[in-house]
Amino acid sequence: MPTGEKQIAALRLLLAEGNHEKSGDVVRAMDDPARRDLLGLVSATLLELADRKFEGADLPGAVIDWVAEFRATSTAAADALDPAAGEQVILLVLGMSDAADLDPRKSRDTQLFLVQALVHDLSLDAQEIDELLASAWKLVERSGK
Amino acid sequence: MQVDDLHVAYLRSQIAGEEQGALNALNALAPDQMTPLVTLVYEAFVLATRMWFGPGFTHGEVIRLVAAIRGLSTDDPDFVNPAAAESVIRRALGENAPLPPDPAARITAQFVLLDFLVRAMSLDDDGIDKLLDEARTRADRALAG
Repeated sequence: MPTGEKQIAALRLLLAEGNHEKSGDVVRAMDDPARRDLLGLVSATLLELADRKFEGADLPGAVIDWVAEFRATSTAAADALDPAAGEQVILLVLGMSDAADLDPRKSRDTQLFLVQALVHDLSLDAQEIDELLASAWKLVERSGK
Repeated sequence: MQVDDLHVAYLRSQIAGEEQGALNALNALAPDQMTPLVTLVYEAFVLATRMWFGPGFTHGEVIRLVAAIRGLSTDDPDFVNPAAAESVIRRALGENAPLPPDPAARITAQFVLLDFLVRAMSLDDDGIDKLLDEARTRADRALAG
């Protein structure tokens, strides 16, 4: 299996099909290096999405507004996303924050949550998600060199 | 322990943006006089919050208000912790929202929100006097209880 295929498959199951169970199965079958690459793919995907969503926007105000609007849609969304963490993670990938006071586990969970939220927000279809993940994986490969 | 005129003078100066007046009042307060001041600020914040939202509110409105206030200070939006601010508003409106664990975050949120709401409601001197009088009555009752 070519490098990246498992990671892309796991994330694709989540983003394109909303299949948490199958995605979890793929992740559980990964060894530690493969899981590290998956985390890299999630970060790179978030970077791609945040770039698209906030390109040319007035920061950090636009990020504060977006996180608030997302959380304002329902109590479940409000409870699921910690506003300070959500803003910080987005601003971090956009190069406007630092990770000094962010718990690594919370950061990872928030990244994955935001990737799903932004894919939904941008109304990406299955083909666009495939293109997104392919582009994000190139970033992972580039950063690994 | 009761609210006295110095506490009210401090809060009135703070709301009016008169830094020197607020500082003078604060310096004149004995260290053991902080509890009535914190209680007065809290009661004024509760009253202003209830005036702003009226009898009905949604979590989305609370989230958007906090985001709007934080968006005004884009140099340092983290000055107000969004989760703490949302929580103190919901508690002021009678919900059993979790108490923000950090007292400093709670008090900062109350101060900033009170300041914003008084301006946003365009309260004149009479309106501010009425708010502070009622807050004082409520604070004295709370301190006596």
